Amino acid sequence: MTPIRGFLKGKDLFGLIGISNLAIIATVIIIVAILGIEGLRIFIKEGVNFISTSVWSGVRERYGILFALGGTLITGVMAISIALVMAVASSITIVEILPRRLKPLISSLVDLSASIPTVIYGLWGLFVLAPLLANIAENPLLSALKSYLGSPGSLGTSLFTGSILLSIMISPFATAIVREALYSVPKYVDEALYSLGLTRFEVIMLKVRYIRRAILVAAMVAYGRAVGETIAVSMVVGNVVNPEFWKILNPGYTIASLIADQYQNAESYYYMVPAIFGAALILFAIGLAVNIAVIAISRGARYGD
Amino acid sequence: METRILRSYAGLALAVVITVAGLTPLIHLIAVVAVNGVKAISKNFPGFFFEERAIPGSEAIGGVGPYIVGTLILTTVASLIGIPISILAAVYTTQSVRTRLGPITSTFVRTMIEFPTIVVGLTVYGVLRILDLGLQAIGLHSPIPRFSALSGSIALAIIMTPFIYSQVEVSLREVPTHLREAVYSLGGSRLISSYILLRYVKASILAGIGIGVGKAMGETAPLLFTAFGSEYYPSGGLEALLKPIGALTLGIYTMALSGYSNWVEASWGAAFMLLAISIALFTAIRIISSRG
Amino acid sequence: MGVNRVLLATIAVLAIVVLGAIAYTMYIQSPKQLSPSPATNMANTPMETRSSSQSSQLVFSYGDITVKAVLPSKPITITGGGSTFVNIQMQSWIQRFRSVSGGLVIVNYQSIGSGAGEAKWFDRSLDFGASDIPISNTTYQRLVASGSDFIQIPVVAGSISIIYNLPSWDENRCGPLRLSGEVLADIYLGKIIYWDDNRVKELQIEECRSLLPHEPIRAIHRSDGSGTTALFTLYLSDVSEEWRTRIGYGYTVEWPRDALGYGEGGRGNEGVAAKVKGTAYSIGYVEYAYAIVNRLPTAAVKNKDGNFVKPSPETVSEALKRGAKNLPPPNAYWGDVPKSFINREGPNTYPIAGLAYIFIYKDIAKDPDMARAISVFLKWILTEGQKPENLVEGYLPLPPELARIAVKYVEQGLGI
Repeated sequence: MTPIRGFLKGKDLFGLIGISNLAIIATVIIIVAILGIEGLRIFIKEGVNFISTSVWSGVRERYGILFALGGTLITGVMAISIALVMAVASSITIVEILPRRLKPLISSLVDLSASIPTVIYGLWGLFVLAPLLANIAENPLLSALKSYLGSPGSLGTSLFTGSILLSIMISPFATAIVREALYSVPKYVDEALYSLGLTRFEVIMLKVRYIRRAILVAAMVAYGRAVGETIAVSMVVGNVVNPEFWKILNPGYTIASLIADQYQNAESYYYMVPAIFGAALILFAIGLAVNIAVIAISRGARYGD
Repeated sequence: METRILRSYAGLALAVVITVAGLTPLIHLIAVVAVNGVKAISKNFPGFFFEERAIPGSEAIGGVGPYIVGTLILTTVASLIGIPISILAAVYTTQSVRTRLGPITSTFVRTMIEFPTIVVGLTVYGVLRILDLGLQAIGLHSPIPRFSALSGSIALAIIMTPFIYSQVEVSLREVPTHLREAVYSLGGSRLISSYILLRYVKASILAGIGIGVGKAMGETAPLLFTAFGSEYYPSGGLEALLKPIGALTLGIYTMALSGYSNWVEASWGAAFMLLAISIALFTAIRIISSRG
Repeated sequence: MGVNRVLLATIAVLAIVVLGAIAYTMYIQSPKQLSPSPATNMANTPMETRSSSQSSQLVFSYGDITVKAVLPSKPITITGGGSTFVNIQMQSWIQRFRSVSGGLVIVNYQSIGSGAGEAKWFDRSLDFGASDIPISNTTYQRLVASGSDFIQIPVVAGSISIIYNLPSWDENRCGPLRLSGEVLADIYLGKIIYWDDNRVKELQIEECRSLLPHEPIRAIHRSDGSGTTALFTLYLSDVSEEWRTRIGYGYTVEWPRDALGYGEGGRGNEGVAAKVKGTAYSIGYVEYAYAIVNRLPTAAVKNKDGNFVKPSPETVSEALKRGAKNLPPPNAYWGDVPKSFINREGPNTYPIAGLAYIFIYKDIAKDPDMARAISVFLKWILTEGQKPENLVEGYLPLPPELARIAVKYVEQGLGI
């Protein structure tokens, strides 16, 4: 077949579309490569100290992102915990409790919250959530937990505020997954359980247990989004090097907010740019690990249960 | 009544309460943004949509005209780049047979969704910087600007791609087999058959595009190091693409974090506009999906 | 099916409208005029009518400096960024100069912080960078290594106010809070925790010592790379040996107080001012103009002579006039220049004063119109811009000798 006739028949041309696939793959590879290449210098300079110490000084060219790593992990874990509770509760409400006409409305509301631009969440977090939490944190309860959770008199911008905001932002994603899973529980399971004489709540709880793999997947998807969230978090997390990152009522940094905050002036120092890229690489590695775990678990689901 | 039944009611009530508690922030957010936004815009109506940013600390609330245009330009150019690539790649993945390129692409796309958006902006900036330095090292005059609308659009295109791709891929896969066979048996090339299938899932694709565009419009972090921000209307024809540009999201971020009360007010106005557009887009997607 | 068509048609129409709007705005040549600001005053600036076929000439004067400058032949946009210290003044200058230049010179200044400004200028992402300290050593070494020629000039003077938020304090009876450099250093080092620490108490006048509460001091600092931080830490390094050896000075430093949980970072001068305003029992450092704009109480700092002095035009000019009279060559390392304004002697001298600086690559003058645009802008800033009616409250004019030298550097450096 001559090239022209082949072209007219569209025969060989289909392969050309593959260029877009290559473009996508190349983009991902370039991104990771740049992170690695630029970040390499800081790993050479600081070694393991980069992730085991807490310091960020341009003047002395010392960088250790333990505080940010801790911030990311703690806010992430707290956010998923809350988000999971929300997701399960919302899914139960939507799938099991709501009358048919309300289902799409509430569902849509949940999905809507996923499409709100993050900077608007940040705005609300900064001007509404942070002052609210500051007022709550001022009360006597805190003095009791004082040394464990942070210093009193906080502004409201803290790792805790960041966690709450994150959970609000990521729960729609978790909800979507759990909701789908709950919908797709086969009817015969329902019928079997009811025929055993269980109350509605007990049936629901068993169904939740039935879809536990999906819940795990939801948790990990939510976590992936949480570690990557930058702008909203950087507006409410306080942006302070806080080596004791478990004191969540104090302001702190997450890796993402550290990058957003510090990148702009990084080039006036020798090692700050590599430190930033190194931190981004770590962040990416965390996300990747979580992603792989998701795939592994959902693969297992096909054969399990 | 039996405790089990009581517990059942309690449990169900708890689920509903938690759900309502979870949706309250959303409602509150929309309300607060709407109220503050309308208040801000009404202080300078209709100038708010055309004027440039006011002097910090002054009484005037100014406007966000350049930001609106910036967002439009960035989103449009990003869509021009991102939509074709996503759709074509998804088509290839689902319709190709003997190659592994498709599945590999899908795996890579899944990792893309996890990328912190700031990293995307960072690397676009990094790549351009390396190219710029490289060209200069060779001795060529480098036309590559550091901050430009184009690099901002590229970053946004990278961010929107995984969403559109996933949507198109899933919807193409869901086409019932007998339909696919029917289309292929018509005898056209794979390209033409793919085109027919695309038209079949048109609604789904539009929904995916809507999601992608919505994401691109609402992003801030990737623009920080690419578009950089600007207070002025882009001018100079196509050259404007090679210069820094502002955007609604960037404007909100800068103005809200400043200490100036007139800027903070203006940021609520801009936020309201952005929110309104997002909700409108969301509703449109819903309608398209349910019709199609 | 019919409904679908309607939907598609609507979308098509919307798309056309959107694209049309974009095309229209992109072809706008002259930018819209800003809404007039109440303080615009052009009485002192002579302006000649612009003819489109030749660049017109302007004449600026300040004191006994007179300088000529040439406008570009077409509208030029200059992109700059950096110091938030200078931002309020810069925005005001930019707006006024746009009128002065008849819309030919448009400056887009983003206050991204001095560190970022220096960095982005260095890698040529910006046409000029602005910072509260001259080019840092790191960047200077790189400039020398790359062989690029540049100029740096001071553009305006200011000072750092120590702002505080102490609800229990009574300004009327007690006057401003009194602090000293050593106490400030120890606060930020984390060695002094509470407001009623003895060392803070003993600085205040006797009757007001009891007004200091037993609350931890929340010390706000900059979270971004800041020239204001550089200047402040320069001062702290001067008065505290421990600060100098342990922390040093620069755009981004460690803040030991953060580890104790009593520190907080704010973005830009604006962010620090906002945080102090909104946090009881807090303290922070901002450029003087930000204290004024935000109406924040400012502390009186102990100067070298032992007097407690608040920043004001008089006290800051005492520092300025004792500082450097001469500037090193424009492409030298100016590390010692800021030190000359810090902690100077004199009964009425404010100890934390400094200048803001702008950096430009010489080769930006390759394009004649760009050269003219930058030159006329800088010359205006250094002359007319230093006049009281063109200065925002909180900023001070450069000492005239320095302004003169700066103008000379601009002319030599840009060749116009």
